[in-house]
Amino acid sequence: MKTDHLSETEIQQYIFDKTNCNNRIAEHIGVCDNCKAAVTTYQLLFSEIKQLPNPIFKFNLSALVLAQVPQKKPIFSWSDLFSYFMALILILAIVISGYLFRGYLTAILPPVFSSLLYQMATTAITITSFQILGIYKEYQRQTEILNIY
Amino acid sequence: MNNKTENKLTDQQLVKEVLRGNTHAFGTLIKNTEGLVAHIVYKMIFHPEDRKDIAQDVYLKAYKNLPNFKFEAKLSTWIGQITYNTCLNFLEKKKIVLLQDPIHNDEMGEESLEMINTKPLSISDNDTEILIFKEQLSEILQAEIEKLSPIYKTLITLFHQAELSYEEIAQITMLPEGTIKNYLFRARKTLKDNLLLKYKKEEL
Repeated sequence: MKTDHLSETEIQQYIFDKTNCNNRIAEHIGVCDNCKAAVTTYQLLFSEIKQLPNPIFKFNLSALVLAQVPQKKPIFSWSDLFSYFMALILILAIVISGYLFRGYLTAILPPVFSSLLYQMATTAITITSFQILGIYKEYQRQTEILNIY
Repeated sequence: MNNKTENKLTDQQLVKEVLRGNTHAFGTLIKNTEGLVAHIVYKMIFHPEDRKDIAQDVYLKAYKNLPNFKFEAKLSTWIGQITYNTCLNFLEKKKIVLLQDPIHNDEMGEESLEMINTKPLSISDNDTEILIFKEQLSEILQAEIEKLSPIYKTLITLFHQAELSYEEIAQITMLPEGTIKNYLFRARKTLKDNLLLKYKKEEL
């Protein structure tokens, strides 16, 4: 009898949401050949759909579109200029204040600490230089990817 | 140019470069998203020439509207949304039925369907037979998917082939998730029934 079997909703729920599926549904599928057959068919169907070849445009879409895109001049970015300017001011402030107050720094620290301070500063500058170099190289790599030049 | 390194660029970086006037970045954006566009266009549009026009139209619209893109969704999802809407508008202009509840293309009634449902599509133990069966099934399946209405076949493809989530499909189609689940349910059932009918008919 038709009513003895699971509904389509229950069968699809069993396939897509087995963990939240009612026990009755799972038990029924375990014993009913009809419903088990429906589940098997669905599973085969979905695995076959997944394996269908993906559609690919048979023309160079990128070239077609880019030919129609208006060539803009790179926009001048005020925000970028502001960032560079602020970074420059910050670097200058650190360097100048370091230079101006070098006398105080060496005076407040004992000679041992003073040499330690120079060592730390040298290490910090070296590490920072490498980091800046790394960032610059990454920037160059990315711009190269985009064929800017 | 290496595809692997190209894909490492984030959506934000690409959009920023395009907005700065770098058209090559837009080329990268196209290459990254044309797979999804193809999935939608191939399912919704029948004629190859129309597909070509629509695919170009999609990216020209995307280029024009890119300054308004707010990263509320993934860039590919946004492009997918433009594609889906462009296809919908095209079909509406052509007065093509977008959503039709399928009628079984066979004179066999519900009773016959009930009968054939008791036997699953079976795969033989023989390797050659398996290959033939799989090849046939793939062909029949593609043909049966094509018979579905444009929205149903798009949803089936996006969910089962492109493996997008309900949420992503909802963003692309701007349909509620409940409606998508309902449409997918109906599309799957129709596909299964039609496939079984076709298979059994060929088996006879």
